[in-house]
Amino acid sequence: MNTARRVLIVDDDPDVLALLALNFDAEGFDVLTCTSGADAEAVALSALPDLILLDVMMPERDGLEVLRALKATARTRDIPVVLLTARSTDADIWEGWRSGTDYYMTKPFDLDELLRFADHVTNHRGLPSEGSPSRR
Amino acid sequence: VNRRILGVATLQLLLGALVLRSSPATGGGINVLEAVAFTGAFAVAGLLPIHLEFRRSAATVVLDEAVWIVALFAMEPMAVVACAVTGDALARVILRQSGVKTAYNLASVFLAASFGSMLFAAAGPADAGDPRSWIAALASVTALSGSTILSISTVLLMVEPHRARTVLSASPAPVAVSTATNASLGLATVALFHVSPLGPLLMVPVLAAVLLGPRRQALRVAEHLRFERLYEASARSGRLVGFEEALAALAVEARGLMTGSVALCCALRGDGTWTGMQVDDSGTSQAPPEAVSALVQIARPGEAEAVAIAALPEQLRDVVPRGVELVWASPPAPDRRPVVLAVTREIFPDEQAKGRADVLAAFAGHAALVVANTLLFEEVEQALRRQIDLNRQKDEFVAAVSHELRTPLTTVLGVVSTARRLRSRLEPDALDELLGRAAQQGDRLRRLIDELLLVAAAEHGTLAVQNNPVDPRDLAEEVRVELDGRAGGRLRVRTGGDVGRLVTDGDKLRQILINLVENAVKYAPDGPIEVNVRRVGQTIEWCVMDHGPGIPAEERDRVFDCFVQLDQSSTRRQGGTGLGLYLCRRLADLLGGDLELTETPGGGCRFTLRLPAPSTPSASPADPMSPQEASVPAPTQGAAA
Repeated sequence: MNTARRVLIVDDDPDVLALLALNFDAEGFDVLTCTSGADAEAVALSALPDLILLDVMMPERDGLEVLRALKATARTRDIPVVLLTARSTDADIWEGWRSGTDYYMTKPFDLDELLRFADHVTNHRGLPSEGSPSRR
Repeated sequence: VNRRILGVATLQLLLGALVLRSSPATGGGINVLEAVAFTGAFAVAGLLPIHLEFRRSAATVVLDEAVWIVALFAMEPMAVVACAVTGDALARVILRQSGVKTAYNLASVFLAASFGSMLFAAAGPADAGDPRSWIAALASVTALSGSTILSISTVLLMVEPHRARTVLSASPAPVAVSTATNASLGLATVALFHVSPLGPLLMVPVLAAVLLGPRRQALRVAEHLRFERLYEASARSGRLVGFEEALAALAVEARGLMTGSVALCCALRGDGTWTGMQVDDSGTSQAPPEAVSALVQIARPGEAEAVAIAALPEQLRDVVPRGVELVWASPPAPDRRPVVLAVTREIFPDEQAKGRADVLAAFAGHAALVVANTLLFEEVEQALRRQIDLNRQKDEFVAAVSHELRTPLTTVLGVVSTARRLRSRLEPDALDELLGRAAQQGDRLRRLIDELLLVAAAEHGTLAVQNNPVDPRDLAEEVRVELDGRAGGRLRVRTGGDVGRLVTDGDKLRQILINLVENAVKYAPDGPIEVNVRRVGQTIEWCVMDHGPGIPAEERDRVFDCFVQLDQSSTRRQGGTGLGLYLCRRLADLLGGDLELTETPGGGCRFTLRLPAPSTPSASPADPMSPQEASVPAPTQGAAA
């Protein structure tokens, strides 16, 4: 039985994707990645991760659209979502919250803050948490 | 509307005929002389209305009802109806009323006359000495005017429902005055005739006094009323609205002031073109440009005039096909905004024509003011919109710069904090790879900052040009070396022979070429990217061509605007701020050249940069005596790995 917490990272920037994958893997997460908004929803539905990190500006389907779709679907509604974006105006942030995000972080983001939040929400959902968290 | 009016007229005719049929036939022939005399009398009465006034109320009395009473006692009912209708028709023809109006009025006169005559005939044989006959005549004339009011209100309800109420509530008093006057005049004449056939002659001086007396006063009051209406019209049209809306409102008011059928209001726009709005029964619309220019041609500033419709230029007659005359007015130039007002009238000019034209001239002065205000308002509004637009562009610029700076910084800081967090747990290879990413993004950040500084310098005009001799071929080769890696081996550089040297700022020229090639690498994912250098007369031309999706012709100018990325969603994928091409054009301007975007044959973008380069004798391929071009093999570079 797979008891590891599972995170889905959606970003079209390969650097950000690699960095996040490295860190979440080191924290004991099962890491799934996705480079486009168009695929993200299908992956989320089939894998039902414990946490989703979502970039906003992506070609074809942007993160806000994906977010709204996830929050409108019964099976994915309760998965916590963190918007990670370089869009940092008040209007952008407000739009993110209105679209139903659980957390909003502007790039460049504080990695420690993100990992703490991830740890907090995944533990609170009452999921098995053995092998984690290894905070130093 | 016309069709409905004619429908009601037909109904009235039928109703009238029915009434006539049911009236008791009295037999007896018709005296032709009598019939002609009464027809004439009806026509004269119609042509000579009497204006009666008391303070601010006025009534117009038409003496046809008096003639009617006399005729009732003198002729058969049928003959009276025939004379009344014919006389009325004659008057209307002389007044040149429009066809529909005449048809409707005649139908209603016919109905009213049939009804009135039947009523009189039903009371028994006419006897001028019998008061019962007098009462019958009174009833008949009352029926006549009542029936006329009914038909007028019918047509008003159809054409102008909102005005019908005011007209109807104002009409009973004047109609009563008119009917009473007519009845007493008519019965007096009948009574006098009963006493002696010469008796009616006694009425002549009375009639003359009544006809001529109030006329001058009526004119004065009419003038006063006109100016009152002018003030009202001016007050109504003073609102701040759009240009065409203002013209339409002015035309509507001018039409009302002149009781005209078609009104035009034309004005000179800020850009020097004339625009006109037109108002007629069907509403407001834009006037045809040729009619506007024809009207502007005939209307002299500072004057007002009435012109017969037939004398108008053809382009104008197309707009105003009906009517008798066109009255135009234009305010004096040059101290007023150029405006021309023109209204057509369907009623034949009377002695008040001059007064009406004066009112239109006064209103034209007011119209000039309204138009000037409107144009000012539009200008202010436009300036405000531009300011708002500029502000929005600035906000977008700041947001885009912020985004572009944050993206590479995210990687750099992310690498640093990852290295810190994981330290010893990272494999040396993985750490190397991370640091490589950080270095690359740091470099991107540096280039972006350079670009921003360059744009700022270009914006402030503080970019200095440092000229030195440049070999275009060497430069192209430098660009190839620098970018070949990033272009993934797709870059081909080709020089057409010895193009000579030129004196320019080599660094800025290199910057332009690098930006153009980078742009091609970003937006054309496949196919070769070609850089061609050649000399065309006194210029050197660099062509950067790709085989990507290209840019539609109508968007091509926009790519050189600051911070424009045609496909916004590509910002992340392609990076870039939208500054590159803007900078290229600014730099090309700075070097005295030009940069243009066309289409690569077969699709894709082709940027052509031309810089002036006077050919020097030592390296002139244009010199026919020089074998240089042939002797130096054209170095073809490119096809690199």
